[in-house]
Amino acid sequence: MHPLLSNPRRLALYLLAWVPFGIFVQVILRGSSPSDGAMLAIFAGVLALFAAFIALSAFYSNRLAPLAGSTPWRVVAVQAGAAGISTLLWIGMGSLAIRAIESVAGRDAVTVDLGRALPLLAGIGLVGFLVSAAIHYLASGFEERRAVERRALELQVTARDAELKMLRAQIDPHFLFNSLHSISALTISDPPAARKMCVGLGDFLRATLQVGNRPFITVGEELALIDRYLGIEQVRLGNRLQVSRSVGDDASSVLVPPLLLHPLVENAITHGIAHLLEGGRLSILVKETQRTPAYLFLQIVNDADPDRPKRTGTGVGLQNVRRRLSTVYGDTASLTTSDHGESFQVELLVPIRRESMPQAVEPEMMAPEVHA
Amino acid sequence: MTPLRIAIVDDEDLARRLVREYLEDVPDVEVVAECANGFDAVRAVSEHKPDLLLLDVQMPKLTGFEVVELVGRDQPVVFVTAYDQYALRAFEVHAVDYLLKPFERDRLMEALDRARQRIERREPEPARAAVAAAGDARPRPLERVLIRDGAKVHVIPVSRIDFIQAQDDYVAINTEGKELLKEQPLSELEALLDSRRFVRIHRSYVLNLDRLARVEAVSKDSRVAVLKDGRELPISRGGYARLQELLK
Repeated sequence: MHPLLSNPRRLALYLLAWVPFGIFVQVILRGSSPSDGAMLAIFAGVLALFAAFIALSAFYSNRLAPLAGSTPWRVVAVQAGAAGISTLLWIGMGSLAIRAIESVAGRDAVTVDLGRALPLLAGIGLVGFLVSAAIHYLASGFEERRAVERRALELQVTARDAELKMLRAQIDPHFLFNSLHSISALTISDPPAARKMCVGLGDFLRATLQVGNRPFITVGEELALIDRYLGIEQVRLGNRLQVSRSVGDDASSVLVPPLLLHPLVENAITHGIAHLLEGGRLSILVKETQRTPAYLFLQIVNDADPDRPKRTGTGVGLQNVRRRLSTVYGDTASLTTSDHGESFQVELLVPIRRESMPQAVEPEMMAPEVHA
Repeated sequence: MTPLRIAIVDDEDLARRLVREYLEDVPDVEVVAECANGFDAVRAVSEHKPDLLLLDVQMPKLTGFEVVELVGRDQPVVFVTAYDQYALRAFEVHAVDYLLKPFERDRLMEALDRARQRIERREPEPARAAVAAAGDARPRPLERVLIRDGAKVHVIPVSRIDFIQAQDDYVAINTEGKELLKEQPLSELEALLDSRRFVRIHRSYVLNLDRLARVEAVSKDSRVAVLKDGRELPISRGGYARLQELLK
């Protein structure tokens, strides 16, 4: 439907704007009418009302021939046809209106010689419709541009939101609070250890920020980051946290989204090992599968308390990882969890992706190698 | 001044060490126990009757709040945690103070002052109604029931409860053939349980729906619930209506 028709207030304003047109028509008709009277004014008003509604039909003829994507010929043909039909309709309805007024107010109440006024009215109708079409084209052009701008803005906002959410998901603030508290304790009893932990925490935070900006990092980089994280947790948890790790020969160079494993490792500690009186073991296994095509297989197993309360928020971290897997890999990656009571296991299968072969570079042009 | 006798409860060794060091040369303070988990804390309260618990919230097996539930709200407690979202709940269980990690020594001293004032004034535990008005921030429904038996603590997941019977001021929790007593009104415990799994079938009985085998009519107006292990519990008229509502 035309946007004006759905809003009564705007429609009223629109019709008000047609009052001058009615006066204009009355002035024109006076020339072809021997006497002017109230009936002529009414007739002119009715004609203006018809014109007002017929002009709105340009909204539909514009849709039939949108400026973008139609040939000029099509635009001209459609609009000329629509203008002709509209004008015929207008004049036809006008003559019906004369009959209607006469049947109420008596014969010859409207002394308009339609035959004499016809060319003039037809001219007004044709030009008027074309003007209306032009205005509609302009309006829809504005509308479209505003919509495009709005969409661009929305995209920007959602992109930033997603980025912020990702950053927030990366680091649990309570991990920071607890780490700072541990450092605070070490400053009294073991200042060198406090300094070491400060450096470790700094390194870890810097690494999360750095890798967070890249679409992919190598498994080796991800594991280095996790080592830093575990190093800090080990200061906090002491011998309650034992870690074992096994990484397949070629697995380190496989590309994965950054911080894919980290939330899983964090879950394993905060929801698993931290709930055990005597602590427990965290095992990380990364390897390529045997079958073809080969997949990267990542497994994280942690000891757990079988009687732990079940609703401790593990769901959020896992959901985030799942969502990231599906945005990056579509249906080709999988995440499965299994709760064995005394242990909890998360397994990932992701398609193998590697850095494209390094291009031949002159030795002196090569960037300095960075040692992690 | 009699020394303030303190028990430090935190699962992290470094966190305990920090508090101990903060307290080292404070006069009139004596650290009577250091506990790495909630079970030890409950035991320490029975054995040492400390004036004040410095209590972590997130710990293995028992949370700080569960420790408070077990030792009673009359035990002055200062919560020490990295999480700020438990503050309302801490107020509800009448905590003396709430310290956010990391904190300075002065902040701890402030908390100790508050504890001393509380102990000197011997403020009674706020009335249950006042606590209820503060809003019950406990997670619902309850997942496990805690029972203190001297220095020993029973943790019973609600799925292992067969039924609960009111006995004067106590409730008798029937689980796996045992009967454990807890000092709590039945209506209060019932309100905390999952109302889709636990139903009040009688003034004195709350039944775990999973244990129900069938309902038998004894006479025209009286029925009994037959449990899967063959035991029978009476059903009142109102209880039968509630049961039917749930089984619909």
